[in-house]
Amino acid sequence: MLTRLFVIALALLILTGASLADWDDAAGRGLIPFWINTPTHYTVLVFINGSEEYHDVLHLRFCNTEGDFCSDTTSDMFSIRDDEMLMFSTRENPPPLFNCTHIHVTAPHGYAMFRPLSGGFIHAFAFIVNEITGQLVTVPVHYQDSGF
Amino acid sequence: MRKVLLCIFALLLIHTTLFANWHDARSRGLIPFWINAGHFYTLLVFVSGNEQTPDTIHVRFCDDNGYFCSDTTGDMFAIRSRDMLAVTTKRKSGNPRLPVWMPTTASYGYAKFRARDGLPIHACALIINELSGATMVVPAYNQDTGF
Repeated sequence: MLTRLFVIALALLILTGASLADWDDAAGRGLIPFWINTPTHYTVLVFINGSEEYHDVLHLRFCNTEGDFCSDTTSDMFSIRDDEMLMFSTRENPPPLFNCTHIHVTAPHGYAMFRPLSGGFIHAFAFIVNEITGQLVTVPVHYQDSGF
Repeated sequence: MRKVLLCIFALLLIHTTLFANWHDARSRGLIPFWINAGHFYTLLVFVSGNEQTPDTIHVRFCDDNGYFCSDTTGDMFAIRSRDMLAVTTKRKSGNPRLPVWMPTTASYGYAKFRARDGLPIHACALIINELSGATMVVPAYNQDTGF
């Protein structure tokens, strides 16, 4: 009887850890600015899973200049498989060459925070695109817990 | 007995130097490439920071699902000490100044590279818009680090 209870408790513990892990449970944290979400400018965020064996879960939230969330926080969870590349755009219908998921952002500029759940080898880049001139700017991503 | 040992040792040496492949590489990095189409192309630049020893670089392009989208049999390049090696997704079209061409079947994704001896190789990608002349520089990351 005690053994069964122990097994059930252990299973519940594992299930709770795996399925209910959320934004606050994430092991790695980074941030990056986004800029000018207007008809001529938009930002593309690129995440690449450097791990060749493990998948992870990404949470992604955009903040305005005061640090308040300006994207939907209920649907910010994305699974990223090993070796996979995920892209997100602040523009609603990005050109077909950018196979991005659209994230609706209510602020024209600010910064994006992201958190991988297991803290694997997720690499991130941001590209700010000017559609009229075709100019692209790369913005480096910083680890949230480091800095000056 | 000594002859047999010598033979085994020689074979081992030959095996290490000639047949060292993608999986034997000691350091690993990655970098995105973008829009291998029309007037866009990507230039990968590798600079050997080591002033004395050469190394071998393997470069493979992947699509956004992580599948190889470049030829994996011709991906090995020797990089001499203080050498710079450039690889492009654009086919040479009468421009002799363009470096080694790597045909990729995906329009975007990321490039993985591995340095065999793990010497200090520095890498970056230049994404070039030939029409506007705009160039974007993307830094490379070590594959085994990250968030």
